[in-house]
Amino acid sequence: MRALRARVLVAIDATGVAGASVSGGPGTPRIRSFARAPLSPGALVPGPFDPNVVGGPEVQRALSEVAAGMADGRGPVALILPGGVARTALLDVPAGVTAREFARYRITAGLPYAPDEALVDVLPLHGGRVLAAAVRRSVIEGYEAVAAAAGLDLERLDLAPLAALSALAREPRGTAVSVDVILGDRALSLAAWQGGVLHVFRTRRRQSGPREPLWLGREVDRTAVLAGNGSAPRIRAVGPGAVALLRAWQEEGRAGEPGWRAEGTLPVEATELAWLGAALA
Amino acid sequence: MRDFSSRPRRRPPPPVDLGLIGVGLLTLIFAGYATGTSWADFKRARQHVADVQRDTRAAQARLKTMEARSAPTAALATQALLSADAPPPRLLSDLAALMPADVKLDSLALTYGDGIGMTMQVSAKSAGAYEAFLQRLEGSPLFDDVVPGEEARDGGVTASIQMRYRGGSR
Repeated sequence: MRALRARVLVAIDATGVAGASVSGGPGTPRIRSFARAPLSPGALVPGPFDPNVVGGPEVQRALSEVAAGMADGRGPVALILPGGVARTALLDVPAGVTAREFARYRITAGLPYAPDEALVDVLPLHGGRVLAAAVRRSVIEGYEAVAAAAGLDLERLDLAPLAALSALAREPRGTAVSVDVILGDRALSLAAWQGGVLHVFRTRRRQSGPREPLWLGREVDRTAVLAGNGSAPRIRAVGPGAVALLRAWQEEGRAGEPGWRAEGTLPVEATELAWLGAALA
Repeated sequence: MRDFSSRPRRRPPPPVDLGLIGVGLLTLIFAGYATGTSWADFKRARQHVADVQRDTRAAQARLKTMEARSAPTAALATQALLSADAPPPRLLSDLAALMPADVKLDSLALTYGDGIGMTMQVSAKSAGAYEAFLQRLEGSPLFDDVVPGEEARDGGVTASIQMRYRGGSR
């Protein structure tokens, strides 16, 4: 039923703003239009505490360009925020309480800011688990303000790691351990699954450079061990740099695969766009 | 769907909700149409039942009328049957064969119904001749239920006799 209407996504991260209008069902998404506008270094600094939008006019201009460059860009859009802005926690929700209430109860206790400053939502998972995320209200308000100034009609705000994981979670998995690598411009997330259950979710800052594939390969191995199995996991990667990462791993003998593919015209591989998961789930 | 907005947003209804509303409206319209047509069918059926009941009553009335007419019709049919089975000339012939020479038949009335009833008036020159005639009638297998009626004796005898003719069933 969601396929009756095109979904318009606008994603923002440290290196730029991108957007896509996506139609079709979750299994066969089709990119109707795509637009991208770069940001200069320092214009947007993703982080969990301080306001992320530093160069307001530049970010506003980039958002306007992207909205203007997309079909349906002036309609309701989902704004996808980058990885690294949220505190996350994997929770088993007891019976009798709503997942969001329980997540707020559990996650706000460890935050370095007042609980009422936290905006909490969850990604429901198999087996009664949820991946909870809390974002500081001031951080969210910074994004909302610049999006409003750019003329975007915000339908909702989501987080790129949760959007990606919601799509990756739909894939059938065997009993062996699998690790999903969700890349952002400044942060990355690692999700380890076994038997269809998400066991570990970790977020790290990226270490861009020639040694990143090696470092990230070891992080994948550690995550797989934390999930309870040391055997070579199945690896899937999405986000900026995923194609290069998979190629580098292939050269060193580590197997990996792109998280997804999509039909339509895209200037990059679909798996380079982690936020596209918001349209695939 | 997740939403980290800082304030609640007025969201457009998702397509699945719109679809369900559409399905609900279509179902409502169809149900209304079906109810209307069913009511019309019901009224037609009720009218049909009333017509059938009226026709039945009319047919019953005609049947009663025909049944009422059937008795004389049956009598006529019986008369025709008996007349064919026992024609008056034969009856008179059988009667004349029993009459003594001193007895003569003044009148004879035949009544067709359950058999052939006879009412006759006779004159006899003597009482003996009259008695002899009665004995012959009572002894004849062609006549039964012989009932002598009023008689006048003034030397001779004038009397009426009722009886039934069985000659047709021979």
